[in-house]
Amino acid sequence: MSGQPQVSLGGEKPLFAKAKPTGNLYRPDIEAFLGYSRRFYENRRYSDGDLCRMLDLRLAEFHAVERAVSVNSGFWGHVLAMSALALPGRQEIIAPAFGYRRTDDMIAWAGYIPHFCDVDPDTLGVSVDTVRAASNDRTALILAPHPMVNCCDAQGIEDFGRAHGIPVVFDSVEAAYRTYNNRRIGGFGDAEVFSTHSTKLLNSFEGGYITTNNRQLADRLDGMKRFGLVGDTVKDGRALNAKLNEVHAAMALASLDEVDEQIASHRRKYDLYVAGLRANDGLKIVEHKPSERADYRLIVVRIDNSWPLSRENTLRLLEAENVLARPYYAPLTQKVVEYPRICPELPVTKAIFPRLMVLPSGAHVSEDDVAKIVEILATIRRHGSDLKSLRKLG
Amino acid sequence: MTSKPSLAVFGAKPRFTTLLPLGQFYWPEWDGYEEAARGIFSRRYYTAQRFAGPLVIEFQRRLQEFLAVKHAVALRNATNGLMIATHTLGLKGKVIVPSWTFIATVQALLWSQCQPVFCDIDVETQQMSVRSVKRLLERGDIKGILGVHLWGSALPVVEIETLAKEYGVPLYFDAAHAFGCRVDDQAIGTFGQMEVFSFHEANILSTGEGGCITTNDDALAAKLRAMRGDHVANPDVWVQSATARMSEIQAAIGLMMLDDFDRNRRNNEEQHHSYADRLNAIPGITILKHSGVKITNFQHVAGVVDRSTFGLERDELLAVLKAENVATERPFHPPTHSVAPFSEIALNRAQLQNTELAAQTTFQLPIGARVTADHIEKICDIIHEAHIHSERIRSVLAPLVAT
Repeated sequence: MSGQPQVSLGGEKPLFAKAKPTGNLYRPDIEAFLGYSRRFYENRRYSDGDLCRMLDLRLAEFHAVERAVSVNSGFWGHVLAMSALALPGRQEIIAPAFGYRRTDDMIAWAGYIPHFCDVDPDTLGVSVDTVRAASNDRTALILAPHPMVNCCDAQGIEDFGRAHGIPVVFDSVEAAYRTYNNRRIGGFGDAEVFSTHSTKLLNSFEGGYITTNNRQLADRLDGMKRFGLVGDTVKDGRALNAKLNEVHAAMALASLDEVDEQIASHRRKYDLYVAGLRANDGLKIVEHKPSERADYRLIVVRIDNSWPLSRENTLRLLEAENVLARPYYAPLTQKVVEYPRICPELPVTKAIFPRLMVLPSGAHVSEDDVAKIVEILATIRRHGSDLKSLRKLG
Repeated sequence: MTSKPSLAVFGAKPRFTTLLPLGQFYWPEWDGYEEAARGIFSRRYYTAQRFAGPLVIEFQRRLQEFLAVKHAVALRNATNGLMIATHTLGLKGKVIVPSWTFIATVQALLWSQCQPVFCDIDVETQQMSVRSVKRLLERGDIKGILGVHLWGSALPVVEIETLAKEYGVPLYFDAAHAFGCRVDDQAIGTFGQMEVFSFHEANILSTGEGGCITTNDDALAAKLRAMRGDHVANPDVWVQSATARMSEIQAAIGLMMLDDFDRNRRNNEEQHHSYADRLNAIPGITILKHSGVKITNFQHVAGVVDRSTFGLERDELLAVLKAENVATERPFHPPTHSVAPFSEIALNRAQLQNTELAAQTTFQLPIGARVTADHIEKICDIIHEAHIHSERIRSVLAPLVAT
């Protein structure tokens, strides 16, 4: 390859006519979706019916756990799991500030105060040490999210929780397909919560589920998502409606049927990214561990000092070409909210967050698209100092 | 009737081979559903990511037009709607709400750290009692009123609105039962600060699960959308989001159900009339009349049993119906004020007399898409026979009820 740019940036038209997002937006076979839909057309129940029951069983099998409880979203799944498990009389829930942008809102709805902890610079997830640093005699629960690539130390955190009598809920939204120590994600801690929003691995339009090996907890969650109803009698006033509807359940089932094929497609694109970025010494892809089962879904890169532009300018330049790369989470401590939170100094989060970004992947991104995106990044690398002066960077 | 009783409670074959559920279960025809699904799959736009999708936007527009209200914010379900509405009004502390309502109304207050203060209902209409609300407002510690329109009727909106103004407290409504109902010429959905509809399959307009909040207040609407999960660019203070987006396929179903609304309402009306004509002729059975509305959706058949003239308690009648495979959920059972943690709130049960009476005597019957004229005939026959054979039924049921 010569020094001449293969793609020219900042032209009249973006390089991609259609936006290339990071969200999965997986499209299962429509005939499979319609096939499942025919079942609720036959039995004429449209919410919380036979398809939801079937989905619960299939998901329990998928995660090799005792029970899966389908819910209408990961968000309310989290609120229910935290409400059911948090230690009574305690006030705080530990969660990393470097995570899903509504994590603290979920904790507030559950009625607790988020106590932010730091992350491990290597895994990008919480570790036993960062959780320990935030724990105290007010800790009611640990909410441990898995990072976008690989897992946090699920076993270590489960053991820490058990040793201290603190319940642990994993936010496993990005980790549904993975293993940790070759054990399927889904069975760690007291419960794990997943989302099946269309941007996630399994697309059910909207939806989510909770997995656990604790049958009593699953029964409790089953009641809590139905207004606390058991039969026709309300047994639990602290409950809400988090039932999944049958249409969304049909979609989840159709997505689940094809999950292995989907992963194979992610794998091909991931390999292209890894090979393509190897020569680009300013960017380093966060690689999936070969020793574990991986989904290859999200493409996370670290930006090092030799990269010619700031992350923000890089993102702006890419966006102008319709490459909708995103920051890897913004620390929640940066936003101002209307409820109390505990925000200690988080040196690792502060140091790493401006250096991470997520590149496009998922159903809207083809293998050719990946090749083009790699090429764009190579061009930026080569001509970084000239690009700095581009008008688009303002 | 002189023939030998043929009731299942006496061991006869049940009148219905499978359970006939309450209702409404209206749903689009397959062809429309398939076409909508294919459209969504080809657009690959499944649900809101940063903003609501094209079908949700269209559904909201149609709802606004249908109700003549400025904003309709479509949601995943009505419970989320009530939680979001309560939070958006900034309510903290004591909120007046009837105990005689589906428990979700009151649960929504709990998640927002509000305490319910239960008002009683009017014995005839079962709507919240103006006198009871006034008495509670006089305590001076009330922060808001969450009204409930029950059974396709409206609570006395003018009187309650006047009271809310007089005491300077926000007023909003759980209108789950009242989509398409009108008070004079004004649609339910336009009263108070906000109203919350449910599009659960039990209601006339169904999206499986679903709901929406309606309001004429621009500032509230903006906050509702932010709480639902719509993108807001760098606000000074972030709202506490309560993820409650409606998906594109739900909106597609909602649009088709809006097209079918008049037909489904007429179907309900015919069924309601058939029930009322026959059942009101049976001593001790009264089908509740619609109150406070010029137009109702007729989505419920709710009635009360007077034991002294009918011959059976409500629960005994329900046992008879259950044996025949007719759905017999006791409405709002157990009454909200008797469920923990609400039962722990200091309250004077003597001031909830009408609620307690309604909880003992009220029943509901199936109505909607799964119900036929023949079903209604059969159900009315069963209730008629239950009246005639009440004494014998009591002797059969007594040992069962005792256990």
